[in-house]
Amino acid sequence: MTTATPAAAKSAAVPPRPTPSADVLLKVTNLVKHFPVRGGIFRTVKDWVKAVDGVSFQIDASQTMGLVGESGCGKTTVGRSLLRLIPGATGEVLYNGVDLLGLSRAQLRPLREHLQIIFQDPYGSLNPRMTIAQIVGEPLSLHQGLRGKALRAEVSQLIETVGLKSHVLDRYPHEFSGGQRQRIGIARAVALKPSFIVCDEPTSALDVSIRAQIVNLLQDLQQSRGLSYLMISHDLGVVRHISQNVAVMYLGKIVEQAPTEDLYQNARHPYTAVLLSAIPVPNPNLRANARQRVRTQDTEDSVPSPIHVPSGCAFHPRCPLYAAKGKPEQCRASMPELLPLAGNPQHVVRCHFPDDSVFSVTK
Amino acid sequence: MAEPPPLLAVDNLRTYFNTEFGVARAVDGVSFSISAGKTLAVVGESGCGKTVTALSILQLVPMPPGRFESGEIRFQGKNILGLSPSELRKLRGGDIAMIFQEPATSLNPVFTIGFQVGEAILLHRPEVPRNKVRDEVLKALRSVHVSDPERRLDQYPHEMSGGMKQRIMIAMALACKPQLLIADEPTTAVDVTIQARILDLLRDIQAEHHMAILLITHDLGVVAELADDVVVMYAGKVIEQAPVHELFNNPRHPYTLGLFASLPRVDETKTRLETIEGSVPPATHFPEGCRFRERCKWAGPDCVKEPPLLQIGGGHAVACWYHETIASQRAVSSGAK
Repeated sequence: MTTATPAAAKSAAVPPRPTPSADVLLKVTNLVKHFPVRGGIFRTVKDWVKAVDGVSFQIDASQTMGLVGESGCGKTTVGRSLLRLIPGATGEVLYNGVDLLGLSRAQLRPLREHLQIIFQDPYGSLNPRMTIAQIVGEPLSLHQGLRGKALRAEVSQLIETVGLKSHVLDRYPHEFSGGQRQRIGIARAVALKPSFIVCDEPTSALDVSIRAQIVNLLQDLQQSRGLSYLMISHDLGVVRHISQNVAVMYLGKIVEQAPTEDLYQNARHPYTAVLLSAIPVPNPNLRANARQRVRTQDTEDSVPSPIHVPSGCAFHPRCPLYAAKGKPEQCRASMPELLPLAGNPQHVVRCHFPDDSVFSVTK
Repeated sequence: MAEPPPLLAVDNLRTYFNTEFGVARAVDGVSFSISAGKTLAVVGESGCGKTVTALSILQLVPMPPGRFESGEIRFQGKNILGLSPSELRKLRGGDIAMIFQEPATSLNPVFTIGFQVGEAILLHRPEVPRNKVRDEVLKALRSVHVSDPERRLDQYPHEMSGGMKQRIMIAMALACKPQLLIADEPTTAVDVTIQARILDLLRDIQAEHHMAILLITHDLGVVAELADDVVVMYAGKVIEQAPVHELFNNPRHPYTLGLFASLPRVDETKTRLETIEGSVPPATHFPEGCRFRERCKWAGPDCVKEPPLLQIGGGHAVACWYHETIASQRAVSSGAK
């Protein structure tokens, strides 16, 4: 703990707020987070879960980066590690040129104003014993020292910004529906006028009609406040709608990354193709047997565990391309690099055969 | 009609709950039917009554606080509401089987997979001798493409992934060759690649056994993938009902229209999502008249009266006073674009 006053710490370490024209807001390089697996009578470390294993990306000011993958791929660990909500990650997370992973806790504290998170579970992320005014007001009084009427006025303005009425301020979280609670979580996240928000599955717990309201709210706030988002989700529809760039993760590594439309229309990694074609399309004329489906080659019906990652390319045991190409040796032998496509430096793929479209091979 | 009588007919079902805030009319006058070999999807958001409808069919609704206010549920022409407990026990898991959303909590953690699937066979298929039960279990596991079934027999649920547990649930449900499978959000808790495989499996099994499926879901993608007919529920009522192609091509109720418009799609892009304002009212305080009117942008003076489910041809029915006006307005505005 530190004795430095918030004001003193602030003048020391806060980088200037980004101007809208600033290019790179957040640059993540080789982020690694391994969790120990303990066992035996002395709880010794038996193994490591390689939840995040060398992830790099960057987010520009006022842009949204989508991070997709199935459960256990490490996408939530990425979001939490770069905000230092999970300690012990290595690599470099440059926020406006400052490495967040290298800061002491005292140096980090004033930066928390700039970096916020919205959680998946609108039920678990609000303290049931606090009123809405207290929940949304807490960051304002801690970081900006607001009190009394000024605090109340600021909170009620925030609550109205997220589409709730200010007469709800003295109610408790249990009095609200899931969508309303997610709005409260968003109000809390934007209270300190952050420039970057990690959205960790913000719509997964919500109904279809409410989901659209929250997605629109996030987009409105992005436009009016120049926010950048890291949108972590398994919902590829929402990610496509809101993101400019999308990265696909599999077992702790990014396997493909590209501008959104490029990724959705020209997926090159077999895993991306599998994911995209697995989503049921709300159109009965495009059932799975009618539309082109790329299937995994699963014998065991599970994603391999991130403790025992397969050799070579981690996806090869499930890969339709690997099977279609007659099980080439190099897929088992070496992990491919994340390399740009020829003539398209924005689109990077981690595959030995990025030019063999999975869709044509498996047809 | 010349058609054979439906396998299951739910007629004006009302399931109410007494709560400290008043009577919750969770299911309030719901009717639909399913024929053998067909899939009927019941779609709606949380709190619309779709799960209570499914539980009512097997009479798994806790009573009290729940009660059947009115209605009939006819299975193979016979009303099954009010059967004796022993008759119900024969029905559940025998002719009608159910799979649940959360496979992890629906399996008993202290018994092996083999025991749990075998139990269903022992109870419902007395013709199978005890020493053949193990073979039947293996057959059931193979039919849902469980890998290495001999080894799985002696495993416990915690040793398996979510997708595998859902397969075990399906194997257990199918072991007694039910005529109707009730699937309550069968793929909500699993990843998309696993979901795709489970939907494939349900489709294959249905074709093989000529089994009817009542599919409860909130995911219109899953509906499009599997259903023959669709019932859309809102606030305890059926508000629209149609064959699947008709519903997706020509939705008529403002709520159904709103559901489709608010979907972000993987197969197309939009700049902004349309929304349905507000949220589902609590079951103890449904508005009088049309229950959707407070959220409806087309609401008019007639909406204080409850709209009946009007047949509009081709098996399509909609509960809205203004559906014709809305359809013609939408035709004009889409023509103008």
